[in-house]
Amino acid sequence: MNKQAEVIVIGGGVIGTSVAYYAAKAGKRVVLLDRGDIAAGTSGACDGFIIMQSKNPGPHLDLAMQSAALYRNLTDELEYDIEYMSCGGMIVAESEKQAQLLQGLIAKQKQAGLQVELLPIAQARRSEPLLAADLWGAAYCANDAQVNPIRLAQGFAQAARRLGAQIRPGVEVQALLVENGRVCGVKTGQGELRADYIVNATGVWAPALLSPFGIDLPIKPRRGQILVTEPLPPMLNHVLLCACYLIAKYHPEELDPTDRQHRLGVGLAVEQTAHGSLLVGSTREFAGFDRKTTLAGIEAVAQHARRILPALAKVNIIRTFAGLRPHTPDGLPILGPVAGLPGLIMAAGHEGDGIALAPITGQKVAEYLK
Amino acid sequence: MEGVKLTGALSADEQASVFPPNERAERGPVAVIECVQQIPCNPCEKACPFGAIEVGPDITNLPRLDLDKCRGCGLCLSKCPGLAIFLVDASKSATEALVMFPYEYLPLPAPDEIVDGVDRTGRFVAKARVVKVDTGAQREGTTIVTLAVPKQTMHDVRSMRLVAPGEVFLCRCCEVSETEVRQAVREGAKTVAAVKMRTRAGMGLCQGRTCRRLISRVIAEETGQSPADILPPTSRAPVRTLSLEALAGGDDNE
Amino acid sequence: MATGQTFDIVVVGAGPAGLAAAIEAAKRGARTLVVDENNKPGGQLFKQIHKFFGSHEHRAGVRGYDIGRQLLDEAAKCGVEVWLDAVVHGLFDSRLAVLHAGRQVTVQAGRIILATGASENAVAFPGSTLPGVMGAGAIQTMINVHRVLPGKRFVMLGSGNVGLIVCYQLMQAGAEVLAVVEAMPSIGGYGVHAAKIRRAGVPILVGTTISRVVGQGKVEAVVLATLGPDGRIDPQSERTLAADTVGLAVGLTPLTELAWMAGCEFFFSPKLGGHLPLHDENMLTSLPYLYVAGDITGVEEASTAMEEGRLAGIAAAESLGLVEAAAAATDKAAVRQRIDVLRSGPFGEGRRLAKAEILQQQALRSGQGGESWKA
Repeated sequence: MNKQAEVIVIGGGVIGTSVAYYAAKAGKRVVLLDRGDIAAGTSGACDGFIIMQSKNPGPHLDLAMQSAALYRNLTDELEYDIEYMSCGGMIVAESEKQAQLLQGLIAKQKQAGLQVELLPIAQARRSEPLLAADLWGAAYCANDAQVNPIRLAQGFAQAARRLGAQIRPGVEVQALLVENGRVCGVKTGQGELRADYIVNATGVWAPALLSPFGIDLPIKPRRGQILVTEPLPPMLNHVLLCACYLIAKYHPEELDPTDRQHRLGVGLAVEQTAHGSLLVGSTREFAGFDRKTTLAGIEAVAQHARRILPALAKVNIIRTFAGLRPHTPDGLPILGPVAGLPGLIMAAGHEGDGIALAPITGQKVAEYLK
Repeated sequence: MEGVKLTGALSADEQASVFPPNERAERGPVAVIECVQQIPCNPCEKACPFGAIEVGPDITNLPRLDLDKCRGCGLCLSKCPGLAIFLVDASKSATEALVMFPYEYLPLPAPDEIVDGVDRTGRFVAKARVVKVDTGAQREGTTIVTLAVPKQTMHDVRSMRLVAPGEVFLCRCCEVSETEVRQAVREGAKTVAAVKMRTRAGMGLCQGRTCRRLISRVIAEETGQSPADILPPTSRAPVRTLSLEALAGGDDNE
Repeated sequence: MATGQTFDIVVVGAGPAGLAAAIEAAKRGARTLVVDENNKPGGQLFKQIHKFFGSHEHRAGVRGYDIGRQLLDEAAKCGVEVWLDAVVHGLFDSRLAVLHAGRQVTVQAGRIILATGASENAVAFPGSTLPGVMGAGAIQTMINVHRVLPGKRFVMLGSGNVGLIVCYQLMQAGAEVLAVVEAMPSIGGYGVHAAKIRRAGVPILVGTTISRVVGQGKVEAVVLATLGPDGRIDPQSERTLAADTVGLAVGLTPLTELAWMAGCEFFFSPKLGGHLPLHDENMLTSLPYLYVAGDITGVEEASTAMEEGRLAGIAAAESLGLVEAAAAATDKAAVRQRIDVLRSGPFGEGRRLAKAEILQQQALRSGQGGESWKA
């Protein structure tokens, strides 16, 4: 059977489409397969944060900062409006204790070259007036930004197609093909396809393709429930996170399981989209592959949002949705080749950093494929 | 297959060769001369009262724009027989840019009218507001239209299409037309959810209650699927809007 | 367990189906709650100022709003609790998320009966988003409930019973109806309803449609066109009527969001309005706690909706062990007999066959190991 491509990318989310774009840009013949549609999974059910100051100094933050640099010209490069806004971001601290936690992270981030400053609440409210007056304050970083993840994936896919990539939604990969100890192709519902490299960018669904080889990939779906408001006039100047998000992410031992908000891993994540709606998130729960929203979940998110942004009390919620974030035990994505399966490249497990890291992931994987 | 020679539209490289840097557009209006072939032609050179455009003695030279001399007056736009000169101005607002281009069709748009901003291939880019329609005598019959467009699209929008009075809106909350829905289906959106992802149809206040059937019908017509197989998008609470405050008052714990 | 209230049976929707279901359930001893998003109960009954068809047992000849009053009286006597201005915005298994008087409340139900009704279909043509184009049901609410005429000169699209009746009531309210327009080659509704408005001089134009509506910021004229044999508009045939309001009576779609959320099985019936929850002869869906009644199970009219509601109410009470099987069987048989009468004759044939198909499908799917069917 002939080789139809040099690279097969499995998964049409922000990661897969980014890999397809950068690989096609590097001159590779690329085929992207997705069993559903572009951005129909996690990328179509998340917020659009490109946030630097939530990242741990080290490879995590380095990658994020390289990615942020790629984002600056991406709209022009893709010739597609990905609704990128360089708005800056804030991480809100409710208490002195949370502020100390932020302070510790900020000190390390500054050493790594990221400018973050901790603002007392009066100062934070000068640029974000809707914050509650009785909060402790907020960490501010001008490098934080936002994007529309659905349009990002569509933009990558369209640009990849212009560069000659084949984008094939509706094709499900059933198994990896292995010959002479090397992954050489995929078996799909529409026949077999072969290539030099196979990139597994299927996020939370990535482990299934590897389990037949006895590899237990440590990616677990973590559900995030998000509320959508009616379209509103511009009212938020930044993307907003709260310290609870960082605690749920880096210090889960600090959470009190008897508290509903803690048990559901609720941390604020609010942005105003280009269309005026606010996305108000989010829970962080392990609930298998269940993408339903729960009453407890959406109530807890609403409660927390009202605490941080009391001005939103009268705003109407028109929709809720839930997405599955690909969680890994160390909070870092799984990138690169897989021992014992040459030919296979992993690009999955980004959890809440998939949007921030999408461009750099695509670029790094494309570099590796050279 | 790329480039003006093959497709009639400038390729990314060709565009890059003529775009002024974004910083220049942020300072104020500036011409974009999208002339990349050596045609024997030089009216642009004469048109500029500030001497910002130079072709030189060999009139097949490509025009060169002096970004500092160009004041963005736009006089060159109606002089270029190829209608290849545009003006961009990113200095007026943080989110919007102005794009000026020659427009030689009737009917003309009216100031403040909302039109479709289209790219070099006539493809829809963004809704745009008409800021000015200049039919002045010095334009010699070439009307210059100024559109306000989302800033990130200022290098994409190069013409406009009137939103036809006969346009049929399927999603009235998000103002999505039947044409846009059909285009999305032709590009591969075969479900109501996929159409929603591509066009925003059904994402508004009514959450698709009004337009869902209309969209299902278009999908059925375009794809030949049975309406029985075209399912509504996932139903999630709230099925009616409610305030954040009301939702926050609940204490469900399951 | 969530805080909030617990009921044996919660009925969503206080229209004819919902009220009838609640009455039958409460009569059999079930602690019953009816929740409705409107500020008045009765669903569409209170705008139906015409006399109903049917037999004596169906209260034929009685006007819709009188039937509504009788149902409310009866519900009050049986101890049914009714929450108005109460929106069920989510269904999480057998718990309902209710926005009641501005507060979010969770209600735990032993059984849920969805009687959410149907919503009017939209239709898109050039100008269909102009103010002045509205649903026929919305017009009926405005004139008969709120006593407001939304326009002076009307064109109605659709000649089913809804379109014909609303035209008649528009004229009773003092408006002028310029025409009823019907794309099909014949009139959809009862001849007697058509005759009433023909006597008032209103033309009913079959094989005709609205090709567009024009006006500056509001409806000023309606352009009609004849449909050719290929179903396409014949541009030569266009003519203009100086109407200021257009009514759309182009059918209804079952309001099924909550049923989809619950995750019950669905069935597609073009005749009954689209996707609707698959159900058995007791109005039970594929979920053991979820019943349906009225237009959500397929669009019909108020009389059948009430009978289906009774059936669901009796069956739900029976499933909770509140009545003996034999007594329930007798009661349900009597209701089913009345339903059959309402679906008899040439006008009922389509609905009768479509309903039979639903039961067949249900039997087929439950026979195939659908263990959730516990009827």
